[in-house]
Amino acid sequence: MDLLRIYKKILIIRAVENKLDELFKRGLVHGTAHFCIGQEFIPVIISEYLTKEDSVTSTHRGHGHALAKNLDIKKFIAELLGKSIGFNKGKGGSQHVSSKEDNFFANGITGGMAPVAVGIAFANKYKNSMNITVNNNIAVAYLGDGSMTEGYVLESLNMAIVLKLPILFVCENNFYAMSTHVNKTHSTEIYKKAEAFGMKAALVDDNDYQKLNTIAEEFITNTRKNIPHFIEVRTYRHKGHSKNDLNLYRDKQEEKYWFDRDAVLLIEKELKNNNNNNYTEEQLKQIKEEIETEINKITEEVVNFQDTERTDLFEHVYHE
Amino acid sequence: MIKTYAQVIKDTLDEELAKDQTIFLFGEDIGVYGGCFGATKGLLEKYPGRVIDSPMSEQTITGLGIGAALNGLKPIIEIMFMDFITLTYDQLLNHASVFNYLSNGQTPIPLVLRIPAGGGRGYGATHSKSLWSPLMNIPGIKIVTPSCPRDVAGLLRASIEDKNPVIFVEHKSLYQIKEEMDGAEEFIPIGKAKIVKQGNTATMISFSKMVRDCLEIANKLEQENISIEVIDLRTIKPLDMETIQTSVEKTGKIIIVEEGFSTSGVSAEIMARIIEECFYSLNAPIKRVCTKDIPLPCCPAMENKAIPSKERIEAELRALLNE
Repeated sequence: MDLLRIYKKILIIRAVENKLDELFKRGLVHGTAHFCIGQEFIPVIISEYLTKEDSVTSTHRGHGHALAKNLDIKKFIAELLGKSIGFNKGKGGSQHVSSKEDNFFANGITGGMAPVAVGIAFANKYKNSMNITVNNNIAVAYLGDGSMTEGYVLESLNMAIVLKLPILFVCENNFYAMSTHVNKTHSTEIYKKAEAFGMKAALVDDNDYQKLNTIAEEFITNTRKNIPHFIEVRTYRHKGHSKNDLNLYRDKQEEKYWFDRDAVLLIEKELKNNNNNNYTEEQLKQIKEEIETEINKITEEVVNFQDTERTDLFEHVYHE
Repeated sequence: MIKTYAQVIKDTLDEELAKDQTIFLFGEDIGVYGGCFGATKGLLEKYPGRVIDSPMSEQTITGLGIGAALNGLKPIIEIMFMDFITLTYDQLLNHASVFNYLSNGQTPIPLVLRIPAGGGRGYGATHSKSLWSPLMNIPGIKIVTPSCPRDVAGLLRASIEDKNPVIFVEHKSLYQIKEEMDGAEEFIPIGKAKIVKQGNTATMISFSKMVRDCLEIANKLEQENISIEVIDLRTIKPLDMETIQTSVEKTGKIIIVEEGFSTSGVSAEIMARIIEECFYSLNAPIKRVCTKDIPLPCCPAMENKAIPSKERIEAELRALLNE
């Protein structure tokens, strides 16, 4: 596991999220945003085992999913700032970033991309078995704990098993569907629901990034053999559900428990103490600062970009 | 060569499956059973692996179609009864219809969704509805309504070729209707209505199965030397306002006949467009004959009063002529 690369990628996502939060306060982001600070390690580690041809479907809390799949940072920030140089020319915004080239598709309906991911995986398998395009590409569907009570998500688990599809479902369980705790919404543990459908499933708890790394490698290898898999990763979001949320419904002890084991802190400990890594506090601080400087630079470029009047309101409603 | 509506669907799907490997069929009971109304009979045997019997999961059937279309295939999915379109609605509205727009053309969704509308067979309130009106409200999709066997192949081919999500609305009472196929159009463009009977006293605008009823009534009035024009919309989204406007200017009297509910119906949309675009060409208020705004009862005596009957259509037409 290339821990330094993973660490840097996580820091990039965190820096972008923090920068976006600042831009909101400056009134430069139109709309809403759902930050993934605290959860970044999940898509970063999953993406270690993905290629550009693998598809990722994402959620409203998808900034980390996008950047982990190597979407261009400037085009991403531009999308959130509503500029025409963004991935969707500003039409999508935070919840609807998509990039065909990167095979990344986010949408705002909770769990709604699960059936679409099933279709993407179906097409990969079909193209391979019909010799249209030989491939072993997979689809990864990110989901939250909230989405796991939507009927069509459970339909998707069933469909994936019944059709034997190359799809990996990754549930980021941060304990809150907006403000409602999983204890109130779920009858069983989430990964057990996938097991009940006959799907191979695993649980990663306590931000255990090393366990996630081991499981991701094994599961993604096997998913490529047309066996669907499910990983529940328990984690915690540091900020509110969306930009205005003050987290008043969260238990303070619970928050402390999870902030103490933030994946960034755990990784830094490993980078500093391990015989193989042995980075100093100073070195890590410098890495962080370099990343923040770079993100600041990119962001200011985007902020300063001025669009002329938009005349494309009606373009692409239909595909000609 | 005489064929039924169902046979033309089957034969057209057969031809298209043979031509294009990226096409596959997905739906409930379409394979082994051959489709609830026999429209896909024999296709599984001919195209193993490409005609798939799905578990009952309409939302995910639709999502699967959308995802497959996004990833380079041309799915033709089937939803068994139009009443069940409700279960597909989120995928159609919040996914299929937005992806091309939000991606600025990078991710078109060339999906065809086949579904039968229509009552009059006593299947009851949850198996008899013609729910095209809520679909008409969705930006970015197209809705096609072949009214006869001769139009099926042309419209189905156009739907498959179209790169947008197309709802291909069949009709339960049309499946076994037979017609001579000689001279049928091989390709019918989406968005173009057809004047199926020329006339100059009044215009009947209709689509799907009710076109047949309108033609029957119009031909009956022809015997009384009353000249009625009949428009078969063929596509209800996008609406062919050019053909409609020409007819409004010609006859000045319009009656819309359709099997959807009255309130907020397709008929209401057509009325709104006529008023917006050619109001001053009207000589009388527009009339419409629709299914009554009630849950559809089962027994024939009541069902026939709810769904537009030929008697009701004729009475309304005659009332329009007297305006």
